[in-house]
Amino acid sequence: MSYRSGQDPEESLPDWLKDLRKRQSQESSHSDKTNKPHVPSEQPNKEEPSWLTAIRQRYSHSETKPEAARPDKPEDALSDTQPIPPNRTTKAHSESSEQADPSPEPSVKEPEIGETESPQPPKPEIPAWLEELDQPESPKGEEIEQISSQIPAFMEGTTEELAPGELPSWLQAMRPSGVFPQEDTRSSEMLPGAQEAAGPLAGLSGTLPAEPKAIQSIKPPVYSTRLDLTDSQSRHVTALEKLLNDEAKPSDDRRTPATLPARLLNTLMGVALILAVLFPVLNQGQLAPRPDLEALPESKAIFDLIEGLPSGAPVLIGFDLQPAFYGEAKAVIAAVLSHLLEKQAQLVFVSTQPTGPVIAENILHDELANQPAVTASDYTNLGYLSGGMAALRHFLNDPRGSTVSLTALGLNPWANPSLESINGISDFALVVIVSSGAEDARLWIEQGAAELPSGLIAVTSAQAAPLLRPYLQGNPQTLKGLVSGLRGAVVYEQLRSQENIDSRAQWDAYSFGLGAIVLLIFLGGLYERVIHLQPENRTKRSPHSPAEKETTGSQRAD
Amino acid sequence: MNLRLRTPVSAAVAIALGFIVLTSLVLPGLAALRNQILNWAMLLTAIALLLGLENLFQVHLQKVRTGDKATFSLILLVAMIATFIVTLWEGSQGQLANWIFSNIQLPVETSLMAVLAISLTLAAARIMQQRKDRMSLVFLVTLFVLLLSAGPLFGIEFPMFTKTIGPYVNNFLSVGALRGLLIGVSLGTLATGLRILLGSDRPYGS
Repeated sequence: MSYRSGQDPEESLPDWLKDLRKRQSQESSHSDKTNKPHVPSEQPNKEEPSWLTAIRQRYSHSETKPEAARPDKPEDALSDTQPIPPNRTTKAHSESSEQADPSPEPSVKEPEIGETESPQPPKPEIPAWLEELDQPESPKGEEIEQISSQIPAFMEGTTEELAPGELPSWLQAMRPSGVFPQEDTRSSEMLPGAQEAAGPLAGLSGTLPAEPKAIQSIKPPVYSTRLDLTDSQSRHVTALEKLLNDEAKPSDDRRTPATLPARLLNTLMGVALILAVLFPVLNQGQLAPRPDLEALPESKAIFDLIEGLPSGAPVLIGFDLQPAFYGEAKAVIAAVLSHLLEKQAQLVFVSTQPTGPVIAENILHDELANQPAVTASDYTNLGYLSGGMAALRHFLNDPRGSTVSLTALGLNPWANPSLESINGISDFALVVIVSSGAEDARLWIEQGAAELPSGLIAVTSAQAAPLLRPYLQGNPQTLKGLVSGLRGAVVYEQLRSQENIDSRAQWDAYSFGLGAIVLLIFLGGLYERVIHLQPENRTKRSPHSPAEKETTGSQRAD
Repeated sequence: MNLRLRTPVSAAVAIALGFIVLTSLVLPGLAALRNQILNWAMLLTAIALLLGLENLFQVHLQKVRTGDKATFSLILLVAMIATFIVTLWEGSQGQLANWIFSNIQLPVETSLMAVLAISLTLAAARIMQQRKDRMSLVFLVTLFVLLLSAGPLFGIEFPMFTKTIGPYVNNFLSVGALRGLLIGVSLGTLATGLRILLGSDRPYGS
């Protein structure tokens, strides 16, 4: 609100407003005399113009008037808080809209420079002239009521008359009939209690939500991938990790060097073993007695089977010997093969080990070179059968169709006239397994025993014999006979009433070596138990003895 | 073919071939197909052996290049190449190939087995120093019984061990324990076969 300089704003007011203000000033002066309200210290400044001082005084009087006109009854004082009837609100609104107030509103007071603020916040003021205008019935109120009566939907029932959850009549008229299901007693339990916030059912409770929670898109929660581990779990994880890492690393070749007495003891034990083995070989005195024939009935079974073979019978030999066991198994293999060759059996060798065919050739030419069949090469070495168990299964199914090293070179071993009758594995008169370990022999037994009417026999090293005994003692007996190790070789030679000089010397060396081993183990255990542990026994008797202190000190030093 | 496609295809091939071989044992009409599949397996095994040889060559060639124990790796490479060429030239039954095997590989492996016998003797003599518990004592007593029953010691036979205790241990205690072991192995083999046929175990690659 701006004023022109040098012009009194009071002069520009209309006459009716001037009369009104004059009457207000008279009433205010009268009330000042009776009530003496607290007036803020607004002393007119000497420098202010007179017209501004007059306006200030007049406004100060007008501010005190609402307090003076405060109604005594509390009901009247709280009347502002009561809801305004619709007709009255509409009427006041229509009046205020129709009467454009040309005068400046005195209730809106702009803060002035130098004015001291009152301790209480200023309340909205209604000028007296406006209150006077509001008191009598306006002649235009009837027109407003006529207009409002033309809208029956809003006037027939008030919001106070509607119970919660009920629809007004006009809204029920809009409701499609028969579409919604009837409510049952479970509605209050099943439906949410919150009011509908949007749509035509806004404000109503007990309605189905417009957007069910099931289809509302909710941002999935973000879970942390970090594990919360306790100290114990962390230690276990570290130990397991270290174990796995150490497993992948090669073992450290740098070992702690043995002490001089320990190295001397190891050397002496090795020398003692060598001397024990060499003594009977150099002596050739046949010192060790040969084992009893009745001690190994499984060897007798093999002997009987081979004795019963017809002349020229085809015999398949699965030769799965490894080179490390050549020295031990050579004697027993030679004993059985020589028996077969004497019976003029047609030998067919096949091996699931790459070195098997070469070792078979070595034994034939080193140990059995005097046999006519070996000299004339009247045997068949099919060679290496690659593929392990699957290849063995295929060979047992179809020997002629299997790929072995001999057929891979373009040769046809089955063209030999002595093998023309062989079309399957059951056509062999006997199958002999020559093996250094139990695993290879087990493959042959499990894959081929059911298809061999004559059964299998095994010639193995001594270490494989205990593992093959369950097949030997089973019912049905899948392994017909077993001869193993140097002891088996000696027994088999006894059965054949023959005695090989080499095997006899080996048996004596075996006997002396066995004795040396038992003696060394016994003495070694006695030394460790009696001599080496004596200081520990003394310390146990006297825990605070000097020996214990020395031991503890040396351990700390280590 | 990416990894996501390769894994189901390899699993399907393995399962199908396994079922064919398994059903061929009860259906005689599938015997020819089974033999063909097994023949493929034999050839693949031979190729795998060559791949293993190539891998061994590469590992030791790398060691020679880096200088990590290069001398031993160089000896191995030279011996490998020489043996491979000789065997390829005149076959596994050739004179030179047989000489290499009979005069180098056979004595070396047999000597290692002899050294193993001495080492085991030393270990058995020191077992009471390393482990002083009840099981060590049981092991030592069992070892003595079996050694005494294996044959005459210094030409002297102990009939009580060779004719009574030894056969009892071999024919009863040992057989009983090994039958239990074999049953366990059979069940494990059966479970492994079922897992492969059902696709839950894929030893041919994940």
